[in-house]
Amino acid sequence: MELDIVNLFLIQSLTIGTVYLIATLGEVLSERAGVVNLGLEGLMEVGATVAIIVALMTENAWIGLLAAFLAAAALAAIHAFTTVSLKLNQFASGLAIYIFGVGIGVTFRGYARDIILGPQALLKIPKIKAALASIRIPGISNIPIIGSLFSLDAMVYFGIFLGLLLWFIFYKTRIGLNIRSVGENPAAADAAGVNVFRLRYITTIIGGGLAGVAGGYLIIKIATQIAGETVILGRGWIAIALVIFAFWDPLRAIIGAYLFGALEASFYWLQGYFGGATVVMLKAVPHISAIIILTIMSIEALRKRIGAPEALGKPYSRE
Amino acid sequence: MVSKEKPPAVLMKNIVKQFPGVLALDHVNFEVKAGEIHGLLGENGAGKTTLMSILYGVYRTDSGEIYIHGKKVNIRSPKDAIALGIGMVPQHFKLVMAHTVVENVILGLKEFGLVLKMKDAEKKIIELAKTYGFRINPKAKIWQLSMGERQYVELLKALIRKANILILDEPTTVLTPQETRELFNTLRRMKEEGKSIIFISHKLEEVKELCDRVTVLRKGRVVGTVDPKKVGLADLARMMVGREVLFRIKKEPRKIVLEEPILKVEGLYALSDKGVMAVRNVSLEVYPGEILGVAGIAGSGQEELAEVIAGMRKAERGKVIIGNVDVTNASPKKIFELGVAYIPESRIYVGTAPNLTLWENMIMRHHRYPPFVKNKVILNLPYIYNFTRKRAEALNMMYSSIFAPARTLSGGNLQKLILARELAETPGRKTKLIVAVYPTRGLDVGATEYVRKVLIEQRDKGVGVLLISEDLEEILMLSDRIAVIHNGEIMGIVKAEEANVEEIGLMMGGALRKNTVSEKKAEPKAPSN
Amino acid sequence: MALHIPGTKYYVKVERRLEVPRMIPALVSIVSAIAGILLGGIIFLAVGIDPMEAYTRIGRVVTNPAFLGNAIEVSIPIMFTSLALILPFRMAFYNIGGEGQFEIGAIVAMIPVIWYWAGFELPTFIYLPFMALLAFVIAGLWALIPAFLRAKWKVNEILVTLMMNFISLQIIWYLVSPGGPWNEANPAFRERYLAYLKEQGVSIIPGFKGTPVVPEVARMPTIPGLGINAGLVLAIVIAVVLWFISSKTIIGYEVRIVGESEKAAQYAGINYLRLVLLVMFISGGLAGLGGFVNLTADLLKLSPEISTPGYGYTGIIAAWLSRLNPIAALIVSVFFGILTQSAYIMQQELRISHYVSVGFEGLIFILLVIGDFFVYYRVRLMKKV
Repeated sequence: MELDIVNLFLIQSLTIGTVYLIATLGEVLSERAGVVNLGLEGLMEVGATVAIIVALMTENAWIGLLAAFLAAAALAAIHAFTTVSLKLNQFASGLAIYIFGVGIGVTFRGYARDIILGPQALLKIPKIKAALASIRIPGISNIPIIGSLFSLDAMVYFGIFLGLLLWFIFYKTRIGLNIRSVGENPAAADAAGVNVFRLRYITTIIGGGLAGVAGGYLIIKIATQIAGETVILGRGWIAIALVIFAFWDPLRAIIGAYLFGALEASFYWLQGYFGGATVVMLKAVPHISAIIILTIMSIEALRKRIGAPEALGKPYSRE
Repeated sequence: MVSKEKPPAVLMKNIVKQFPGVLALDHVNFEVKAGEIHGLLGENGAGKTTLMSILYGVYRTDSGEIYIHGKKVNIRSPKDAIALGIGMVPQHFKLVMAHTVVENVILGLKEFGLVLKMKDAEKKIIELAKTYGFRINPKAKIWQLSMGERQYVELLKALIRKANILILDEPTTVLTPQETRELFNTLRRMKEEGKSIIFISHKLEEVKELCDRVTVLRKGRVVGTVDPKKVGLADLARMMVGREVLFRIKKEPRKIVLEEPILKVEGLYALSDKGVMAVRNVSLEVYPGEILGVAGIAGSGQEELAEVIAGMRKAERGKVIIGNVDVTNASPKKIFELGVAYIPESRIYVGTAPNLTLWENMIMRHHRYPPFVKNKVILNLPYIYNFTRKRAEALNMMYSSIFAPARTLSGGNLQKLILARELAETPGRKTKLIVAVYPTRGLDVGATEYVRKVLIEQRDKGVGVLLISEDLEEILMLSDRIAVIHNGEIMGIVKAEEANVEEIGLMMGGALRKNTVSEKKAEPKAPSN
Repeated sequence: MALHIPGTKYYVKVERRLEVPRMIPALVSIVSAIAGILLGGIIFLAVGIDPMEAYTRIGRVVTNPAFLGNAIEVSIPIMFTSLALILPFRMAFYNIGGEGQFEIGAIVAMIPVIWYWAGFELPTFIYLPFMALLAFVIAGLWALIPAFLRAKWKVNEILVTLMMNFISLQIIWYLVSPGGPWNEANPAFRERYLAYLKEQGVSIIPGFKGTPVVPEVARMPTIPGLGINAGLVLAIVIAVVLWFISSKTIIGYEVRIVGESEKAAQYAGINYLRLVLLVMFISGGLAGLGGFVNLTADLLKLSPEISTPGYGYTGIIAAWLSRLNPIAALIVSVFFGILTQSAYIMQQELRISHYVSVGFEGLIFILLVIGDFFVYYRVRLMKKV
C-alpha cells in the first residue's frame, strides 16, 4: 500500500518537474547567449492556450504541442526583435511580453471554449490525454519504485533528452561554443567572426518556443482546463529562478527542475494530510531561496566562479 | 637575413585618412620588409592606430594603395586582412574570461569540426607555442592567466589563422619587465620563422632594443624611418615630440611663494579599471599659485591619478593630503568642501548630466549647501536661477536658455559650464586647488585659449593647479613646473624655464629618469644638424 | 546606419538623436495607447470576434456616468501603484514589486480589523488613519529589502522585487486559508462575526477562504455627490506632493542625477544608499496605501483577490506611459480604469475573460517599448541621389 504512494509521488514529481524543466531549459538557451527573457510566464500561458485548443480541434495532443511551440516562438520573436535589433531594454521588453502573454493567453482560452469549441470539446479531453499517458514497459514497470521511472509519458523522456542534448551542444559543439562566447563577450565573438545577432535571434526564439511547449504539456497532462483563468500560476517565474539555481547548466537544470517538481507534488500531499495554512507558507520557500541565491551571486567575487554569462542583459551594438 | 629580392611584406603608399575635423593621416608611406620587426613610434593622436586599423580592415582609406607581398590588395574588413595573413594583437584584449585558452583560440574557426575536436586543437596550440618558444596551458581559464599569458593567447589566435604579418598594438603596456623580455624573445623567434612584425609603441628603449627599423609618426605625417641602433634615444624622442618654436603665454613669474603645498601626494598606488596597477609610487606636490603640469602619453596613469585625488577612485596605498587634511579615500563631497575643483576627463556623463538642464548642471556639486537649499530640503530656485545666469555670464557662455538641456551646448561651452561651476565662490567655500584633466581636449581654438586664460588667472589668484594634458605644447606654455609620467611612475619633475623638450620626450618614452637617488643618464646626443 | 529598401531608390536612415524634442515621448505614449487598442481590435477580428463589441463597451463606460464612476473607482488603486513608481523609475531603480507592496499594505491594514472582530476595539475615528499609517510604514519597510540589496551588492532589483511579490501573496494565502489565523472560521472571532452576519441576514459558508469583512467603522467614506470613495482625494493629494518633491526639492534633484548617470552622481557627492532607501521607502509606502484603499473601499476583506487584476503590474505600465509625470499618471490611471471596467462588462455580457484588459495593457506596453526606439533614434526616409 505504502509503496503505491511512493510510486505515485515519484511519477508526479517527475511529471510536474518536466514542466519546469522544459521551460527552464528554454530560458537557459536564451540566457546563455546573453538575452534575458522575463516573459516566460506569459509565453507559457500562450503555449497552454494554443496547445489545448489545437489539440482539441485536431484531436491530437502532439499537433497541439507543436502549435504551442510555434505560437510561443512567434511571441518570443518580438522580444528578440526589440532586444537584439532595436537594442532596447531587455527587462522592459520581457515584462511587456509577460503581461501581454498572460492577457491574451487567458482571454482566448475562455473564449475558445465558449465560442470556438463548444461544450462537446470537453468530451474529447480523455482522447488527447491518452497521447501523454504513461508508457508501460511490460515487466519493468512493475518493479517497485524503479519501475515507476520507466512508466512515464513521452514528454518526460523528452525533457531529459533535451537537457542532455543542450549539454552536448553547449560543451561539445562549435555552435555551443559560439553561443557561450556570445553570452560572455559579444565583442570578442563578433571580432572572431561569429554572427552575434543571428545567433541571439535563434536562441531567443527557440527558447521561447520551448516555454510554450512546457505550458502546453502542463495544461494537457496536469492542469487540464479551458477556463478564462491563469494556469501557470508563477511556475514561469520559478523557471527563471531555476536557471540561476542551475548555474546556467542544463544538467543541473534537470536536477533543479525535478526537485521543484517534487516540492510542488509534496505540497499537494501535505495539504491532503495536514490541511491548509502552514503548508501554504512553505510555498514561499522557492522565492525566498531565489532571493538568497541572487544575493550571493551578486557578490562579485563569487560571480566568476558560478557562471552567469558575463554579457547577460546587456544589448550589444557595434558602436 | 633580409632578402633584397623579396618584395616588402607590407607597402602602404600615400595613405590619406580624414575624420570630421581632423586629418588623421596625411600621405603616409609605410613599408615593412619581409622578416623584419618594424617599430611604429609616436604620441597619441599621431596616427599609428589609425594606420594599422586601415591595414587590418577596420577603417577604409580615403586614398592611397596597399600592397601585401607585392600584390595590390583591397582590404575591406578584418576578414580580408586575415585572409591575407595579417593578424592583430589588440591593446585591449578581446577574450572571454570564463573560457579556456583553447575555447578562445578556436572561436570562429571552422577547421575543428561541428563536434569540436578539442584534443586536436589542444595539440595544435601546444605545437605552435613550442615553435615560438613559449609555454601555455591550453586548458587554463583566461581569468586565471597573467596579462602576459593572455597576450600569448591573442598571439595564438593570430598564429593559428596562419598570420605571417603580425601587428602588436602597445603590447608592453600591461606587462612586467620579465614578461616583456619573454615577449621579445618570442617575437625574435617569429622573425626567424619568417614572420614580419609591426610593433606599435611609445616606449623608446623597447623600440631601440627590439626593432630592425622604426617609423616615427607625428600629427599624421611620417617624420622619418630609421635604424634605431644607429640613432640615439634623444633623436627618437625629438622625432616623436618635435621641436617647434613655442610661443609662451605671457605670464608673470610665480608671485606667491608659500612653503606649504596645497596638494601633497605621497607614494600613491592605484589600480586601473582593468585591475592593472596604473599609478605606481607617485609622489608630488602642488603649491598655491603655481601650475604643475603633468606630461605623458595618454594612458600612462595620469587619469587614474587625478581620479584618486578627486575622490573618485580608491587608493591602494599611499596618501593624498590637501592643505593639512589627509583625504586619502575620502568622499568626493569632502574633497569638494576643502576647495578642490575637479575638471574631469569625461565632460559628458561625469562632469555634466547631458539630459538635465543648464541650471541643474550648474549647481551640481553645490546643491546641498545653503543658500542653494532652504531648510536642507527645498531648492531655492530663484537663487539658483540667478546664480546660473551670473556664472554663465562670468565665463562668457553661449547658451539658449538656462532650461535647455546641457547636451545642446558645444564642447567649449560645456567646459565653461564645468569651470563656472567648479570655480564659483560660495559662502563657506573658496577654490584652493584645481585638478584639470585634458581640459582643452576637443575644443576649438577660441575655447582652448579661454580655458588656458582661466587657468592662468586662477594661478595668479593663488590657486594651485594640477594640469594633466597630452598636449606637450600646452604643458610647456602654462606650467611653472613639469612632472613627467610614464607607465604610472613619475620619471622626473623639472622647472619649466629649465625644461628641455628632448629630455621631456625621453622621460615620456620611459628612457630617462630624473631624481636625486639614481639618475640614469641619457645617451650622448647624436650630432645634430 | 542606413537600411536599403530592396527594389526601390529609397533607404531608411537611422541615427541616434542628439536632442529629444519634448513632445516626442508624450506622442509615443499616445500613439502606443491608440495603436494598442486598434491592434487589439485586429487580433479580435483575426479570431472571429467583432471588435466593435469591445469598442462599444469601452464607449459605454466612458459615456455613462454610473459606469464612469465605477471606472474611476477601479482606477484609484492604479493611481497609487503608478505614483509609487515615479521616483524609483526616475532614478533607474526598477521596482517591479508594486504588486507585493500593495498586498503588504492591505495585510497590515487588516490588523486593526482583526482586532475588532477579536473583541479589541479602538476609538472610531482612529481606524482609518491608523490603518493608513500601518500600510504605509510596513509596506515601505518591505520595499527597503530590494533597495538595500541593490545598493550594497548590486543585486538585480527586478528579480528580487518580483520574487517578493510571490512571498506576499503566499502570506495572504496563509492568513486567510481554512485553518489560517485570519480565516473567518477562527474561533477567536467566530462568535462576534456570526452575530454580525446574523444581523445582516447572511449565512456563513464553512471553510470559505476569506477574512471577516471590514466593519463600517473602518470603511473608506464616499465623496458626497460623486459616489466615488475618498481614496481619490488621497491619490490627488499624493500626486501633488510628488510633483512638489520631484521638482522643488533636493530629493527630486538627486534622483534625476542618479537616473542620468551613477558616475555623475558619485562626482556630485550623492550617497546612493541613502537616496535609494528613502525613495524605496516612499515607493513601497505609496503602493501599500493603494492596498489600504482597496481594502477599505472596494474589496472590504482580505483575500488573494485583493490585487486582481494585478494593480501592481498595471501601475508599471501606467507609470511608463505617463512618462513619470504625476499628473499625467492620474489621467493614465483613469484610462486603464476604463479599460479594466470595460473588460468586466465584456466578461459579463460576452463571456470573454476579464483578462482581456490585461491583454490590451500588455499590447500597449509592447508598443510603448518598441515606440521608445523612436525616442532615442531618428528615422528618416531618404532618396538615393
